[in-house]
Amino acid sequence: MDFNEIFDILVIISRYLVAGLAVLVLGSCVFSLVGRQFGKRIGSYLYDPGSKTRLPLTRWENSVGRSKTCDVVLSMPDVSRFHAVISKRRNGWVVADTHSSAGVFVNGSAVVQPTPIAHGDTVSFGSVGFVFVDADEDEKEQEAREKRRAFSRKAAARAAAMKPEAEFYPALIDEAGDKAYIITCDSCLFGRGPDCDVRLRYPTVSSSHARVTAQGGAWFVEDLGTTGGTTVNAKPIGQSKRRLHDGDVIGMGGVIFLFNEHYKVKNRTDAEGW
Amino acid sequence: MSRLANKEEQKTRKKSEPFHWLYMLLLVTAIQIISGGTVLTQIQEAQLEVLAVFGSFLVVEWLYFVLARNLAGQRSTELEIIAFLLSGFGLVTVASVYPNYALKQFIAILIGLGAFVILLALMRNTEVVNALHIPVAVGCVGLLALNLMLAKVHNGALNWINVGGISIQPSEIVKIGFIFVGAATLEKLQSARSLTSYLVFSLGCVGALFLMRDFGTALIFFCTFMVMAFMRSGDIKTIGLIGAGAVLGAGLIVYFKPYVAKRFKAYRHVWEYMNDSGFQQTRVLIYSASGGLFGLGIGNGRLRKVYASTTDLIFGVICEEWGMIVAFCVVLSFAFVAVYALRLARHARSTVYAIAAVASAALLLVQLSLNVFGVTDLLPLTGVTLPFISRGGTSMICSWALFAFIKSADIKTYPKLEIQMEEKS
Repeated sequence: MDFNEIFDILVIISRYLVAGLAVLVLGSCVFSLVGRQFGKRIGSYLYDPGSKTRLPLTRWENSVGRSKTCDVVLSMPDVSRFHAVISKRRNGWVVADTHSSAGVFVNGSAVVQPTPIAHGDTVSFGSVGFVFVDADEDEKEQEAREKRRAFSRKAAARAAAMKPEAEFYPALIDEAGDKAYIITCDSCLFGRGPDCDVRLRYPTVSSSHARVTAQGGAWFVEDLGTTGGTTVNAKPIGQSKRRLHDGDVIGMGGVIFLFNEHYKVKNRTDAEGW
Repeated sequence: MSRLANKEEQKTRKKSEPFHWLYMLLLVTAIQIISGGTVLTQIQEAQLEVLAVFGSFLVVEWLYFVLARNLAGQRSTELEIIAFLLSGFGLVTVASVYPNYALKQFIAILIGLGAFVILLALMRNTEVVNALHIPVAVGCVGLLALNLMLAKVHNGALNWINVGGISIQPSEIVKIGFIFVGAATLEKLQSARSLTSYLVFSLGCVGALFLMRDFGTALIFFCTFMVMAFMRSGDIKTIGLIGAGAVLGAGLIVYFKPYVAKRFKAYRHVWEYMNDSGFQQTRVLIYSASGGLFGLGIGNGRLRKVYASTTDLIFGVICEEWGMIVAFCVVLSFAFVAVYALRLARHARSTVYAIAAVASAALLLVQLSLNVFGVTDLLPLTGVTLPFISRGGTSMICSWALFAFIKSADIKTYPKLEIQMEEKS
């Protein structure tokens, strides 16, 4: 087989190869272009509180008017055939009056130039008013509402669970035995400062002195790096977290307290920490 | 959104991308090296020049993708892959028939790529597009008027002017302006409410093309106008009326100017005039059939010896030398780009992009149809070029610019804008 024959064979192979590769490239491009996903749907809408109807704004630019070719069709007599355009821009939504006879108003102000509209704004086309609902803001609001509901449910369940033993709380009782500092949360900050959960008005106590926390049914105390320090049964606890037992003596900046895990509250107003 | 989160998101996107641009670019390069190599073994003249042109083309191609991906953050480069593939087919075919013309064709591709990038930047902001409408419209009309004043008759048409030794076809450049002027925001369209000003501009363009006797381009402009008019107004009755008016006008022209009809006398009768006005069509039909599925091989065809083999008849050359499979790939690529443009239009962030993308795709499809069906005698032969492939500088620049209009409708083309939108959400 001489060079010319080899060359001829290579030319034949190249013809088949070029055709095959062209099909492969085009197929991949087409598959990618035609199968492209275009992100999430625009879900904003105009809401009529009277009839409780929603007029969806599904495009980036939405025409509003009486004409059937408009994206949002309003069949009211004072709405022009092509009344306005509501567009989604980079910085938010904008409404523009497209030479309508009755005008466009945002919260009562006439629209002359394209005007930004925010979630909850009232947009009127002539005498027909709608509340503008921005899908993104609406979603955020719904999430917040859902969170609030979940929190309320949790709080109610917790209150219901605590009710039978509502009269017994862990507490720190002062040396004289006439003042009880009730621990009402799972992580209670003790100190002199106004932000503390339980305020101890003693000059030697730091503004944020110690934290008492509940973990796995047990109570713990930890010092928050104070100069006066915290002790449990006369032993300084340093930076460590120390478990508390009923009857332990806790010292904070030299002030002594008795830890009572099941302190009976007779009258809530008498006790500190409420 | 933090930078770290952005990087993580980019990594996830990269993993989920179905289109691997690097593999595709390697495949396109392989096609170009194989076909270019074949040409280099066959041509007798300007071998070094053609080798330098092919090498430079590959460098430009790779440079574009590396810069577009890494500097401009482009994630969607399918259109460019198609454009480079088709431009490569054209460059190789032209170089194999006229080796001395390869450099000109390559320069045209370079200018086209430049126009593509500039138009993408211009189209980023709809306010810029709106502001440039009137200057561009005036420029288009001026260019056509200049064409009518300066051009000399060439192949029965007045569509070429010579500027400093370079032949320019102004109607090809006006195609870009025609779409640019027609694309407007919904707010502007609804405020204007009437097609009158655009109708006057379009009639001016089509009328000038008739005066130039460039009927193929006039038909392309008219079809594009119909698509744009429908997209601008949404009123099918008005469009029907304009269509009927145009048909009536064309009938009157044929009646009063019989020489126009004479130009198309061979249509559907090419075998009766096979050595006269049907010469080109009959040779395309005969030689295309001999190419079969895989072609005779580059340089082995006979159609290349027929007049206008690298311009009007280049589809026939592709069929004969590259084979029917590659020819179908060429046709289908435009068809699928049109489907893509239609899908883009539904999700475009403004009617500017929707109109520009659909009108560009329509223009390319009409031009492709006139070329392919013209040389195969399914439509009258009007002498229009095959986008991206035919020899001709202005045609190449126009093809790249039209792809820019389609690409600009995709939000992925502007990654910073997309991130801003996502962050806002």
